[in-house]
Amino acid sequence: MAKLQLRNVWFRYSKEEDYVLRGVELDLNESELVVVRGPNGSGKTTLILVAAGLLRPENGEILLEGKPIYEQLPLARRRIGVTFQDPEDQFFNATVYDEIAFALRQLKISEDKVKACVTKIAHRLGIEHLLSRSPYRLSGGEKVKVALASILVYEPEILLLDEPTAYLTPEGKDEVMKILSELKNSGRSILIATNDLDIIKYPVDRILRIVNGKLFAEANRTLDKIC
Amino acid sequence: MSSTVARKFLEAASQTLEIIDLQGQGEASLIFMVMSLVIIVLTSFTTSLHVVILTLAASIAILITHSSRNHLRKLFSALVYVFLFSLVALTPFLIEGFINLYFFYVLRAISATSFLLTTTIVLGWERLSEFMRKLKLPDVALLLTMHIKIISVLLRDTSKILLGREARLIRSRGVRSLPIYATVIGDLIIRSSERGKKALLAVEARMFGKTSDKLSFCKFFRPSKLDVVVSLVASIEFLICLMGGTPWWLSYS
Repeated sequence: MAKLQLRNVWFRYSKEEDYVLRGVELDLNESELVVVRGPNGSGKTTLILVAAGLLRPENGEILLEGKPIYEQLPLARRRIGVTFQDPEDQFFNATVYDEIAFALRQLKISEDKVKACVTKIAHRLGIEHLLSRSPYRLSGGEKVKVALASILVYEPEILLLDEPTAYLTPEGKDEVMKILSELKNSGRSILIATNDLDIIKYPVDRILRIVNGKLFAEANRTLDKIC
Repeated sequence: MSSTVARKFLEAASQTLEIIDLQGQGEASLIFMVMSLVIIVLTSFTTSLHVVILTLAASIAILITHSSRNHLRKLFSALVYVFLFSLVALTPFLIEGFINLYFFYVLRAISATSFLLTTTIVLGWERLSEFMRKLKLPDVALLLTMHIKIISVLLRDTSKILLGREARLIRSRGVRSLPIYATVIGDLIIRSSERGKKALLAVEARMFGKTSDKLSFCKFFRPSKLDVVVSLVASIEFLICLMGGTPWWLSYS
């Protein structure tokens, strides 16, 4: 059974507006890295937020291991990690350390263990020198890494990432994609929404295309490269 | 007029709000919370200079012993802003010639704010929220947590809007630029709605529904050093207030 399923999902921000997602069907399996690509305003970000259970669809359902996600909230949040398109939208703490430690501190674990986990993930992403700094005063690439660290630290089973390679240098992209690939191999399910053409050079399982809120059948990777 | 001063103020206000983190800095119990509230109320309405000075001294002492140097520095910067605002707000007293009363009120405002900030730094919002939940006010608790986070985010956004305006301010300078800065308010209302929603989603995405139980009601009869100090300060202040004295309108006029 797929880890996360979207069944005939229709979503719009208000009754006066058009639908942003139109009958989206998606299965995200264990140990799978899926990329959703599409033009600006096609619904990629909305898809991520709806899949995470942060926005409620008008029709259709989102199933986490076969059960509706809304019946499992808020504990289901422990199993899902979401990053936003603009990493700064995700920050609300005074320092990078507090930002990364926020989720861990709700898990009733000792502050020593929180510190150990934060330091470990910061080291893995190469941001340990930023821990005492304000997340608002970092470069674009550093902000992306802090946003990633803030969710990777609590080891969610499903990662929903909106533009995780934006603002990153080619070396930074390699680093992040290597980490994501390792996470995939360790059983995590990863959904990436992106416009970054470079991403197809990395080993991903499926590439989907979203246009005007409709998620199209999986594109052939070779064809996709040619297009 | 340059927007630099306004931006610096917004940044400082945002930083001050951000020091009030979710976890708090020290060990604190219900005794600390109740006694702190007593001190804040007494200081806010007292006519005694002793109470005001005792509260100020106690808040600085608690911060020095239970928090980091960084918090102390930020507390002082917050107090400077309270001082400046109090000077402006209480100017009528100065004009009327009540100079003693004027300085007493400014000091009282600083002292009460100082203890309020110290209490919040020591307790942290999570424990304050827990207290609200125990009082059967869970919505207020959630709103408090959300607001304390979102307000600081919005203050930073205002600073950015000002910076954006200044970057495109080609001709008007000085007083003429005021109408341009004034439109920031309109922008902020539009932007704050969207920014607030996103900040709310970000908090929600990483809230698993469990809260800390550090504010232990079972520890009520096992007070810590901090509880003893705060209780002592509250008792002394209460006694000073109880003993009375000359009301301010007679002693300072």
